Formats: sequence, C-alpha cells, structure tokens
Amino acid sequence: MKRREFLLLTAGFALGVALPSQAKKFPNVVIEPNKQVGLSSAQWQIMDAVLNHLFPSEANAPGAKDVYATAWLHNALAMPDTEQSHRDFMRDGLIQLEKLAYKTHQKSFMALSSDKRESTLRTLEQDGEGKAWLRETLRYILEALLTDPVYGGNPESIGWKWLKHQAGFPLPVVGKRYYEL
Amino acid sequence: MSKDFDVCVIGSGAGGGPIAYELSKAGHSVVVLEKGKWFKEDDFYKDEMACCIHEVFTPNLKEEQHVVETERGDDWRVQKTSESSWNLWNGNIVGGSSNFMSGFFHRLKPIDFKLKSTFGAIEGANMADWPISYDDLEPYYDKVEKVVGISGKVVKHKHQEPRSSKDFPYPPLGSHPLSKMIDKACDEIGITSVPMPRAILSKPALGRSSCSYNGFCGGLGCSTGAKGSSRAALLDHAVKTGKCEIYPESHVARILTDEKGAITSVEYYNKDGEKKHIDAKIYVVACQSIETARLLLNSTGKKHKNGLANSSGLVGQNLMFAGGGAGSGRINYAKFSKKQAEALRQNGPFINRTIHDYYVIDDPDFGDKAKGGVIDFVHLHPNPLARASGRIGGRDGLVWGKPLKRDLETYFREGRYIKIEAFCDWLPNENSFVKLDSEVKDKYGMPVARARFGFHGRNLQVGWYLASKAGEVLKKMGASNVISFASGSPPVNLVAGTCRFGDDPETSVLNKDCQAHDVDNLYITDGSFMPNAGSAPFTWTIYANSFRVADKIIKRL
Repeated sequence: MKRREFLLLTAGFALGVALPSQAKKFPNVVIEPNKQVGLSSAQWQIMDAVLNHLFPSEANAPGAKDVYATAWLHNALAMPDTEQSHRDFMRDGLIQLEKLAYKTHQKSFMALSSDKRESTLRTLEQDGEGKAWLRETLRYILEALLTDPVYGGNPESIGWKWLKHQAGFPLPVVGKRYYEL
Repeated sequence: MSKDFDVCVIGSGAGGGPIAYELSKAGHSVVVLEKGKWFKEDDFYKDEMACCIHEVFTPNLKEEQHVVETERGDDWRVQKTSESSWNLWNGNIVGGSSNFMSGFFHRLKPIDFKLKSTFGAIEGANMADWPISYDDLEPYYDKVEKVVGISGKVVKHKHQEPRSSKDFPYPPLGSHPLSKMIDKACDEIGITSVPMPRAILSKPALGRSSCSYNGFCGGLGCSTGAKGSSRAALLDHAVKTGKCEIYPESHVARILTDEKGAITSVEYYNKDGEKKHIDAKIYVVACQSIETARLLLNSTGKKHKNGLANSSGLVGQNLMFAGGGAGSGRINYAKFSKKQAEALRQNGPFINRTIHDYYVIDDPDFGDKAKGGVIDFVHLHPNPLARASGRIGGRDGLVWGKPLKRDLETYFREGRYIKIEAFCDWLPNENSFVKLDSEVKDKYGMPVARARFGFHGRNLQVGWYLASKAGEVLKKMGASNVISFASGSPPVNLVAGTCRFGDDPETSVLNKDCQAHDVDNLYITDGSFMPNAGSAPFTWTIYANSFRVADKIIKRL
C-alpha cells in the first residue's frame, strides 16, 4: 500500500485502549494499535508515561499529552515507509527501559514515582543505545509540538503559540501534506 | 538526418534554464529532461515536514545515493549516504535546487577570473586562470538581473565590480531592524555594510508576484514566484513560447555515442521506468557538478573509453564547494524597549547585509596579501523543529523535562540569532573529486558517484579570518553568545568544478564556450565549468554563464 493511501485510511487515528482521552480528539479511532509497529497496548501505556515524563504538561506550557505526542509517535512508526529496523529500535529501547526499572526497583516504569522515573531514564542515558533512543523519543515529542497542525500534533497551534513562533504562509492543507505531494 | 529536437537539455536548474529560455525564444525546439517531478507554485507550502524532514523533493537514498569520502587522519572514511547523515541531492524537481536557494546573489569579481596570475600559485592547490575575463561575462550578469530578477542597491565600496547598469532593476527587499544595527556597527568599525542582492522580486514583475515576506525562504519552494528559480523565472516562459517541452520524471542514465565518437542519443527512464531515447542536434548537460561528472563517466563508448569528453582524464577532478566560515550571535530583546523588541521579533523582512571589505586580505596579521571573501549576515532559519531540536543535547547530557521547556521558552521568546556566512574559495586540490563507485549502483543499475571531500588548509585560514571579522561586527552591535568558526566540511548545496573549462584540451574538459573539447555538439552549463568558484555563492555566475553559452549555441544553429 502506498503511504498516501495508508494515511488517507488511517488519518488521525489514535490508540483507543492506551489513550482514551486523546482518542476522543481524533476521528476514525481504531482500538488496537497497529500491529506492524510492534508495541502492545501495555507497552504503549509505558511509552505514554515516558513521553509525559520527558515533556510534562504544565498550566502555561503544553506537555506531551497536550500535543498528542503518543498518537504522533504511533502514527509516525505506522507510516508505510518507516523502516522496520526503526520500529524495532523504538520498541527495543522501551523494553530496555522496562528491564532497567525491574532490575533497579523491581517494578514497572509505570509504577515508579517521578523521581525514580527520572533516575531510571538517566541510567538508561548512560548507555549509548539508550541515549540514542531517548534522543529520538525527544525528537518525536518536538515534532508533535512544532510541526503544522495539519499533521495531527500541535493542536490549534498550541506549541507555536507557547513559544511565540510566527509560522510562515501559506501553510499546508489537507491534500497537500508532504505525503500527498 | 532528422532529429527529435534542436537542443536537448539534461537538468532543469540554474545551468539548464537559461539555455531552454534563450533557445526556445530564438525559435529553436528544445526538450528539457528532468529526473524529478514538476511542482508548481501551489505545491509549495511553508511546511517543515515537506521541506526538511521527509524526502519530498529529493530521491529516496535507498534507490539513488552517493558515496562520500571524508578526511580521517591520514586516511579516508567511506560512507554511503543512505547509511549516514550526508545527502548530496539538492532539490531534484523541475527548476532544480534553484527552487530552494536563498537567492544570495553575488557576482564574481574581475580578480576571480585570474586568481593564479594575480596571487601566484598556492602549493597543493590546482589553480588556473579562466579562459574568459570578467568583461566577457559582465553583460550576462546584467542580463540575469533583468531576466531572472535581482533586487538590490548599488553602494560604493572598495571591491565593487564594474557594472554596465547603474543600479539593480528592482529595489532592495524590505529590511529588518537588525540591518540598521549592522550598518551602524560596521560604520563604527570603519568597514562598509552593503545591501545584499537577492534573486527575489521586491515588486510584481516579469509575470510573477512580489515577495510575501513570510520569513520562510531558503530551503523552501516559493509560493508567490518571487524567487528567481529556473522554473519560475525561465522555464515557465520557455514553455509559453510553444518551442520548449519539459519531460519531468525522466532520468538520463547515459549519453550514447557511435563508433566515431559522435552522440547518437540520450538514454533515459520515464516515470513508468521504461527506457527511452531522444536525439537532438545539440546536447547540454547541467545536472550539478557531481551528477554531471557521473553522467559523463557512465557514458563510455568506443571512442570514449574513460567516459564522455574525458580524454584529459579530468572529468570529475577539481570538485569545489563554497569554502568558508560561519558563526552567530544573539540579540536579547530585554535590552530594548517593548516597541523595539516587537519590531525585532518580527519574521519576514530580510537582514540582507554583506561586507566586501575583505575580498582581498591585506593585513600583516594574516600574512601575505591574499584572496579573501565576502561575509553575509542573515537570519537564522526560522524552521521551529530544527531550532528546537538543537536544544536537546546539553553539555552534561540530554536535556528534558521542565529544564528543556524553560530553555525553549528563553530561546524562542527572549531573543533571536543573527547568522554569519563567510565565503572563501574552496581551493581545487587533488583530494577533491568525483569518480564512479565500483560497487554501489542506483535503481537503474548504473554506478553511483563517489565524492572525496578533501579541503586545502587555506580554506580554514581564510574562513577563520572572515568569520572572526564578522564576529567583531556582532559584538560591536551588542550581540551575546557570539561564536565564529571555519570548517573543512563542504556545504553540499553549493557545488562546482569537475569539468573545468580552458584553452588546452590536456588540462581542461571544456573550451571557453563550455563546449566539450572532445565532442562537438556537447555543452556543459552548470557550475562544473568553473576553475575556481569565487568567494561568494555562485548561482548568479552559473546563470550568467549559461546565458553566455546560449548565445554561442544560437550562433551556430
């Protein structure tokens, strides 16, 4: 399937099981996460916790959940032209993190306090692969925060408004997104 | 024998556009083969996803790539671009990379045409005077101002090159408040700040709209047609003559020759992957230096065993880029009144300031009198994701959480950066060249280009000098965080050389008309012809030279 057709079919879908609050804001919700991506619903919940820790929501400053970062990451990994090796890399990093949480605290990352989540992530950062995974994860958050709302993140330009970013014009419209050109 | 077209142009960028424009206007039939798609103004949006994160305007590197060799100690590190961060494609669509240029337009100066005889040989650099003079090219620089559309203002300075027109045909683009601050700082230092000419229309003209000052220009396609891309400025007009046809998504794999060495046709693949042929009286290659060299080297024949037009063995040699330095400084809004800060905050108007004072360096601190270059001051590119991504990596590890958010707030909201771009000659040398890779092939089964990026130590010396002079200007205007540096890493969007022109067939590929010494009906009109590429972005020179060659071809047809 070409990515254009794929995106048209799944435009804006979110992860009903893992993310009920986000799913409501997206049309065409599918309940099960895309199997190709390779993360289970439970793993997506951990990923959601990681993203919210790395970019927390605050009263006057949007966080990962406000820019739909988890759904963004899911959609990016589900794109037909995303390489399987990259999907595996994103999944394996999460598995490493969860192993580390059990090894250090005998608990899932989900069950850790904020301080312990931080120290676990900082430990993961000491490993070369772990650092690369964290960098990539942060980059996805910034994509959800700062790319054009037509792609599904940055709702109502919340990221741009927060940083007083003046966007250019004309801005992309449905039918002229990068995968539709 | 009847031919499909009078002229077949391979590549539709700044090197191919003038040929198509001039020849079709003169009544000759022209076909332009372009490997990429034909996007129009209404396909260009200010979309960081399209321009910069995904490969919309360049080939998929898994299918078509390059191999690069970079210096590593005494050895060369070899990387496939599909497996590294390198990407040597610059915009493969109708109009080529001129769609995505910033349009910083500078002429070369008279001394650039005779560097070797002016400054003498430089050890380790393969210098040669040009077979033409500045005076030969001046009428065509002038023509580009009028036909492609260059906005600017002539301000007297000590390295002002001779001009046949008193001033630019279009007034300078609207300037940002930072421009005046730069002017003042330069005044205090005793150097001349000059408005930078841009290939961007400051008012509607030539059947195109004016700049819309939306702040997003370089790296993005222009949605008003103000930017003087080969597509908007030349090819659209060429097509209107009814004499020019553009074949998009047509990748030329080889130029075929007969037993006597004459070109019989070009072999290309259309968008359905079908192999096709086309023939013409005259063939013009303009695929940008690296791909031009690759096409010639892949086009072997009975009389051209080492590649087309390569009896000298010099096709692919003397690869050049724009050498130089760079840097930046930050202007913090807190130093200004609320009203001033609001004015400084705006995106849209251009900084557009250039310093020519150091085009020749005559400074005992530097050493002997030497060729220097220009310094451009421009805005940092406003793409938000690119800017934010640079904030993730801190000195003590990755930055995330609230510290990252506070940093982004400060970085985006409380100031802005001015960027220094300093340009010097990328001295041609024996370790800067293109050849065919012996293993990697593209999706058409043809060997890909392998480029070695060796730089001459002089690049760094001059680059550092210029960048530090630019840094002084930023400090004088009160900027903080001022940094300046030089690098031997090539800016791959400004590429020249590989098919040098000259009078001697043993030391050059092309004659002074940019016609191959070995093949009567083959011309090369991208930046490949240049023996040295000047100390400034050289797109204007590519355009001008292509207009010059167009006149030569018209004369013979």
